[in-house]
Amino acid sequence: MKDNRTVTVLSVLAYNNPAVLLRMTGLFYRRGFNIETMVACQTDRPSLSRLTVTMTGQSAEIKQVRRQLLKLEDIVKVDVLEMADCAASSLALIKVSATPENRHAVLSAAQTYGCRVLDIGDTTITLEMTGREEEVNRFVEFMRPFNIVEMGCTGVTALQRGDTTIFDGLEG
Amino acid sequence: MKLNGSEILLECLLEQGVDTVFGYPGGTVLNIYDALYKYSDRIQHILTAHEQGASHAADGYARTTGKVGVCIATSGPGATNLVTGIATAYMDSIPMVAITGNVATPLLGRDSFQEIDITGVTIPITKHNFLVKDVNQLADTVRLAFEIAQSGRPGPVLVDIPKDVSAALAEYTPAPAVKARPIAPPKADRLERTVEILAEAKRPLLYIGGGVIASGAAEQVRALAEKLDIPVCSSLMGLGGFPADHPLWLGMVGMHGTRAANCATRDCDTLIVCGARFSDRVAGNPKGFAAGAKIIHMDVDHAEFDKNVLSTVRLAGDLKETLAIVTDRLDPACHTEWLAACAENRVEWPAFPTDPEAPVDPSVILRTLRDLTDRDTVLVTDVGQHQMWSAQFYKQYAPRHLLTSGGLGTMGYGMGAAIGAQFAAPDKKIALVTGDGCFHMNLNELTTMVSYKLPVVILLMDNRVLGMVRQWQKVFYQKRFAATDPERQTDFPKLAEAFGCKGLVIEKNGDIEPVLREALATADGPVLVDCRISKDANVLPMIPPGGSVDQMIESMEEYENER
Repeated sequence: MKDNRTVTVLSVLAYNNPAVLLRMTGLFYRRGFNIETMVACQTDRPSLSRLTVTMTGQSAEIKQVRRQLLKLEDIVKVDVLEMADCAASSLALIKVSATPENRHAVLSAAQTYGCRVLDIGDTTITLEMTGREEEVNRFVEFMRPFNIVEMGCTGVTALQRGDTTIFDGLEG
Repeated sequence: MKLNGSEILLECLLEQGVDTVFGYPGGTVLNIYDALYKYSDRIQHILTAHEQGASHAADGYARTTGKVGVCIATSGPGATNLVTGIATAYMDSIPMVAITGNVATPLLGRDSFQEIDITGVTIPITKHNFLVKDVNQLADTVRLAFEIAQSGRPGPVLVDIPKDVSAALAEYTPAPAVKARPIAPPKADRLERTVEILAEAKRPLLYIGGGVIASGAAEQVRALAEKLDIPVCSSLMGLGGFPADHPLWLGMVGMHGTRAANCATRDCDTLIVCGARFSDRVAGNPKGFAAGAKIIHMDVDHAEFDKNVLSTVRLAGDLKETLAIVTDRLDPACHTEWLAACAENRVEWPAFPTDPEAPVDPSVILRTLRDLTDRDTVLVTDVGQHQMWSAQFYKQYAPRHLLTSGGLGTMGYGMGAAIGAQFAAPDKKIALVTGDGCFHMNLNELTTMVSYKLPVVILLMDNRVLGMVRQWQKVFYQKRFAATDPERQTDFPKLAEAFGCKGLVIEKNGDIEPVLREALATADGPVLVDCRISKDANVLPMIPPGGSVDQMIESMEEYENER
C-alpha cells in the first residue's frame, strides 16, 4: 500500500481474444492512468477472461478509466469495487537465506504466518505466502532480516463479497 | 458457394454497399487486387500516388457521404503509410475500414520481407482491429469491422489479412448489410433535469461539435435553438451543423473563434453541449470555461463526460433522439436581452478592398469563393492558417460540406480528402484550400486528380513560409523564425503543368474574382491557383493556448505595442 487513499478494484470481464491485455495496458499507458496491480486469468466460461486491476486514484479518474475500458470492443463488463467490499488475495513466493543456524527461525516464522514451505535448498528456503495484500506485505517485511535472495509476487485478485458475481446481468 | 478469401472480402464489401475503394497494390495484396480485377464492374478501385493519399481519400469519402470509407494497402510500408490517415479519422470519429495485406501466416513473426505488426501499431488509433488467420472467419470479421466502424461514436477499424488467407478457399454465404448497433435511450431522470435547467435558463448557449454532423442531428439542433431562442456556437468539427446565416448563429468558438462566440461561453448561465468534447482548442483553460454556467453534456460516448470539463448533467444517447425529446418537452422561450448582449460582441467584416493593385488578402479570396460557389460546394482544407481562414470566412450552411482535420491537425490531409470527396460527390464542386507547406507534403496526389480528371479547384495560399508555426513564433517566441522560412523556389503553376494540371496565379486583389471564376469553370481536370499572399498575414482573433476570451488578441499591432 503506497498511501492511505482507498484502493479500488476494477473487475474486468473480457473476451479471451488475442491482444486483449495489450489493448488494456496500452489504454492505461496512453491515457496516463496509474494502476497498481493487474492479474489476468481464464474464467469458467472459455470465451471470457477476468482481469483484476487495482488503483488508488480519485473517483473521477476511476470513472474515466471505467468508461474508457468499456469502449474497448473486447471488454464486456467493468465492475468498480472498494477493496473493503472484496474477498481479495495475493500471493508471494519468497526465497530466503537459511543457514543451519537460522533455518529453525525461518521455519518458525513461516509457521507463525501460516505460509507454506515450497522448497528447502542447501542454503535457502522458499516460502509461499497468500493473503490480503497488506498481510503479504507485512510478512515480506518480517522476513527481510533473514535476507531475501529473490521474490516473486502476483497482484491482487478479488471477488465481490456476498452472492453477487461479475456474470450478473449478462446474457447467456 | 466456395470462394477464395479475396473474393469473400469483396463480396462482403458489396454486402455493405461499398462501390468505391481507395488503395495501392503490393505483394501481399496481389490476391485481393486479382479479385478487384474480376469485380471491377461492381467495385471501382481508385489508385492513389501513396497509401497516405488513399487513407485520406477514404476519410474524405466518408465525411462527404456519411458512409464507411474503405482503403486498401499492402503489408509493411503500405500499411504504415496508412497510419496518419487512420489516426486522422480516429481523432475526428470518421467511419473507415482499412484493409491491409500481411505476409502469409507461416511467415508472421519472423521479420519477413515487408512484414509489420500493423494491428499492434494501430491499436491506439483504431476503434478495434483484427488479424484474420483463418479464412473461415474472414466474412464475419469484415462484417463486424463495418458494424464497429459505424456504431456509436464512429471511427476507423483495420482488418489485416495474411496472403495465404486471401488465397484460401472457404464457403461463402451472403448476408445483408450490417446495421449500426442500437444506442440506449437517454435516462429519464437526466432528461427531466435537463428540461428543468433549460426552463430556468436566462442565458443559454448551444455549443455544437462533430457529433451533430456524425449523428445527422443538425435539424434537431436548429429546432431546439429556434424554439427556445438559444444562440449557437460550434467547434471547427461542428461547422455546418447550424446554418451560418441564421440570426442565432454566433460563429466558431475557441482559439480562432469569433469574439461573439467566445464571449457567450464566458457569459452564459447554461451551456448545452451537443456532440462536442471541450478540446483544448475550444476550452483553452478548461477550469475557466463557461465557469459560471450549468453544463448539460449530450454525447454518445460516455468517456467524453467529465474528461476535460465537468458537467452538471450528462445525457448519454443518440443526439438526434435526445435533442428531439428535450425540445418536445420544453415550452417556447424568448431570450431577447441575452441575444442582444451576444449581438453586441459581433464583429463586422471589413468591406472588400476596391483597389485592384492592392495586395491579396486571404479572407477576400475565401469570401469571394463563397460568393461564387453554390451551397452544395464541398470545401476541403489542409491544416494551418488557411484552414482557420477557411473556417472563419467560407461560411457553412449544411453538414458534410467542410472536410478538415480538426483533431489530429494533419498537414497533407487535403489532397487525398479532396479526391475522396470528388468520388463521393461527382456532381458537386470540390474546392481544396491548402497552404504551400501542406501542399509540399502530399502534392504527389495531383497525379491522381489528373489521371481521374477530377475537377478539384486547389487554392494554394502561398506565403512561402510555414505560416501558422511562424505566427506562433511571432507571438510567443519573439520572432525567432526557426525553420519556418525555408526559401523554397517551387514554381507552383509550372509544377501543376508538369503533372498535367492547369495552373493559375492570383497576384493582386484585382485577380481574385476573374481567376476564381476561371478556375471554377474548369471541368476537365484539376486546376491549381497559386494565391500569393503576404507571409505576415495572421489568423485573428487568437486566444493564446491555456487562455480565455479575456486574453484574446484581435490586432497584432496592438499586441506588439503592448509588449
